[in-house]
Amino acid sequence: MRKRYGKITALLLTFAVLVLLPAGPGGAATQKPQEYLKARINDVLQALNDPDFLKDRKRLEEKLTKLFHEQFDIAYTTKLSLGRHWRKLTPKQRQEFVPLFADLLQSTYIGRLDDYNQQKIEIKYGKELIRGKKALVKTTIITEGKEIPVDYKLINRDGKWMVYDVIVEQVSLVRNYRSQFDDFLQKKSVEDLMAELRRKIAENLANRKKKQEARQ
Amino acid sequence: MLLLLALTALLALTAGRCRAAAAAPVQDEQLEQLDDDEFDDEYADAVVVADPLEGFNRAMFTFNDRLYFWVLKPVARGYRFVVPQPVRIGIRNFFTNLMFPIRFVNCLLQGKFGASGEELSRFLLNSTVGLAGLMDPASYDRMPSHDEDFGQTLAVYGLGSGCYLVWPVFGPSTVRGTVGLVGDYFLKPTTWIFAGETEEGLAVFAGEKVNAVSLRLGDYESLIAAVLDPYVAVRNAYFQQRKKKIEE
Repeated sequence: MRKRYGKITALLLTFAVLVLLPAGPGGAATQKPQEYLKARINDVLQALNDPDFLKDRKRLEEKLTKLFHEQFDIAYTTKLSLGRHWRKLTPKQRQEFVPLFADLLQSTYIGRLDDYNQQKIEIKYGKELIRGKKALVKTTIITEGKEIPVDYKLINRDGKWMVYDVIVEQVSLVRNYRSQFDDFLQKKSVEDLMAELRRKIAENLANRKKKQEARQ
Repeated sequence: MLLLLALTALLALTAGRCRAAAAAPVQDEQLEQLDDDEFDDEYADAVVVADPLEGFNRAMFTFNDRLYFWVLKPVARGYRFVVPQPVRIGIRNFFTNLMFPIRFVNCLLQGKFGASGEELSRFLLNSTVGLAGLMDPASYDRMPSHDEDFGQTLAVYGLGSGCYLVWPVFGPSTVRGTVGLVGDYFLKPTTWIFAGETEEGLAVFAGEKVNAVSLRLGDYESLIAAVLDPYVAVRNAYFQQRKKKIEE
């Protein structure tokens, strides 16, 4: 009898939580992941086409860096990319690793946007799948006669949908880095991996500088 | 023909080696033990790659890397400078349309009759209204293309992939993928058009390659900038893409 009573209470509780939570005080009204992502992507496109930013590339870069950190959950991306190796990292190593990986992703992300020459970019938004705290939003980028399927995986963080994986032409960023980190860590240490990340970031910076000088 | 026979024999040999390598169990430690309860690992089904010929493959990868930076890229840049983009897109469309028999036959072989019908409609429309395939009106009509090849057909028939193989010029593949490439070679109209005219055939092959590269300049460079080990990154990307294509 008692058991049954407990079951009903649980059911009622669940019901109450389901119904009341979205309307509850302070409960951030959660936007649909697709709408959220669309707004973030439009922020980037707007910045890229802003004539003020065009004149001042440094400010554009700062803006894009800010947007990058607002839309990506880098800590989660790092954790997933390291997979089973994440456990082996000491708390100090984790604190060092996450910003390093963020820097690498950011340096390539912004480097890619450097090549942008005001060509037309159209984005088609496709299906949106939501499962609990996670969502998948499918998009197609159409530019220069190419259609590139790009899917985003998002996680709900306090009402904000943060991107944690990008799947470009069926290739997941997390899966790809996981294979590389795994390959590396089978032969070398975490410290070596972080040194390698630092080397790579410095190399990308130097290459970008060279490219910018050539442009001037 | 002799070359092909030798190739097949080589493949049969390597296939044996690969199977032995692939049989080794994958040690994946218990992900549940991660100190984060939300770490339900959606990535646990990682594609496991048997790469016993890594030494050979890395050498071929380096060869292709040099081929790109030393030959293909400079040529494609010059070509891009001279030939306007709409023309290059047209040429790419033309070759894509020309390779219709590969997609059509492999759709049929996989029993995807609806898809093969769509491929046929695409081909008829693009070859006529689309000016011999230079334009792609079928895509505007929302007729999707079905990128099927013989390698995928063999996968659908249950043939294992065998180990990873990198070929000069052709790039990443597997034992199964290579057999697929040979099969598709006989479905290519260019094979028959240029039968006995090796030089012309090669020139067209090179031209198509340069045209395709001219529309993708910068992609490989940004990949290299983003990754720690381009060889491992490309191998993983190849297997992710193949897995998705075969599932479709």
